Amino acid sequence: MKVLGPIAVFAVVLALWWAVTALGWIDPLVLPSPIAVAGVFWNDAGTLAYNAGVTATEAITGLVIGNAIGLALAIIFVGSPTSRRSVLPLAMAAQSIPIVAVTPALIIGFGNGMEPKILVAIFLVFFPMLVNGMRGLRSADAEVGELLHSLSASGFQRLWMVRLPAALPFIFTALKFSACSCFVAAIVAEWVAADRGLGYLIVFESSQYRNAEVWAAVIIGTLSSMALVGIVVLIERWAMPWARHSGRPA
Amino acid sequence: MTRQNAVSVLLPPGVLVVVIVGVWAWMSAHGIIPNYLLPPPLVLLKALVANASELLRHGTATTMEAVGGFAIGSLLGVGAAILLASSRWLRQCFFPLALASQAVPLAAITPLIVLLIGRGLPSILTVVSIAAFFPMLINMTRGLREADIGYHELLHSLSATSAQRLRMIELPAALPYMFAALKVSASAAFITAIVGEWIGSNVGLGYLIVISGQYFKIPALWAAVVVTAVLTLLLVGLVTLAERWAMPWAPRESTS
Repeated sequence: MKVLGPIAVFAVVLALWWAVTALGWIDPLVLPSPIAVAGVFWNDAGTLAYNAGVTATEAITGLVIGNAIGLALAIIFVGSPTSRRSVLPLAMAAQSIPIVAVTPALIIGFGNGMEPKILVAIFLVFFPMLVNGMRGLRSADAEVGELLHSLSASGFQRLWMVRLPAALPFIFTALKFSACSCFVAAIVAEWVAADRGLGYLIVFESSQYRNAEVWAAVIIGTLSSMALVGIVVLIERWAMPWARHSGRPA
Repeated sequence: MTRQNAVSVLLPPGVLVVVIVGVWAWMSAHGIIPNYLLPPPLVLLKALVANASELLRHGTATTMEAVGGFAIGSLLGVGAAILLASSRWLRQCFFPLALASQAVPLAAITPLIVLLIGRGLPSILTVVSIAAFFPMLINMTRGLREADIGYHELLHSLSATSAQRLRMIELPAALPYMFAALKVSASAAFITAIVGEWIGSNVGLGYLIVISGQYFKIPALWAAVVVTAVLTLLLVGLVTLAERWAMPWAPRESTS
């Protein structure tokens, strides 16, 4: 029953989409029929897979590097109140800065290869991890910290045994957010200048008015991003088996 | 906020800003940051002044798209959430799809919207609305169902109508959830509009950014980025002020 409802809605939308295109209510130049899109998946599978691979490489590289730097800085800054009080408000404000908008400058600086796209993805995922990591590391129970102090635990042991486990839910919140936004960063950066990748494919095919191909590329991008979020959720369940797994109001 | 409090809150980030700008100016002057990537602070300031009229024209277009889409998407999100919260059946059909939408790179569907609606303001407005709609739908559906069951029983015994229950119990209980969604979509509204303009518009700050990049006018590009950042911070600030006004009882977020 839980999956039946959403699947039914999905099927109805798909049927409506097919009906309006088959009955000729909407020009196929505006909205291609789902069958035409499915045909693109069948015929252009190689092209789609290659370009999706390029985009996924950029997105995932950015995701890993950006989050590693963010978490490392969070661990460094959380120890000192002065740096915390100066860094945290700025990091929160920096989240409102349109980092993606800097892409054209990065492309002038680094060419139209993978590097500027990875840089944009790094910047986009870095700040959420820094902010969430600092909040999470500080959320550790003070009494457990005192216990480890009385056992004369080293700073590293306190980090490993108390602070990092306490920070896990915050870290995964940031990871889930960035699993989606790193794909946005890569695709959108490819719109500006690229010769491969899903963003390039989208811009190129729309300039040729090959709309079914545009739909196929966008759908592949969406599915890749959803798959990455799914992987992060699976890792979260494995890393925090004690957490509640449901977010749905039944 | 007492005066000492204000100093201890504002001073550390203020000092850090000054240090960052200082290092930036020094590195630009010594060629460590190439000027074609990021111009020195003074050049950027001059570009802001020199391009003021252009920035104003494009900034107005982007503000209309971003704020309009933010408002439309949030309102529709509240309406849809009231529907979903009232029916278990609707919730089972649509809420999992709304949750799944969070994993969709919404900015990346702009090309489809542009194909459907055509280039220009309506397309960008639609994309920003969609981006604001889903966080509001998810948060409000949760929030509307958070109300204390005791209040519901009280109003039931006073034979209140369901509209009265919505206005007196469910909406106040959902306020924190609503403002959480508003803050998320306020900080995303301008960037979504700008990215949408890259492929769907011939006006706006996003268009200005791409065109300045193509003509290697880097200070003008950064000036447009700075204006976008300021507009975003303004919108987020307004939402935060509205939150304090609407929920004076709520604890304020502390950073210390």
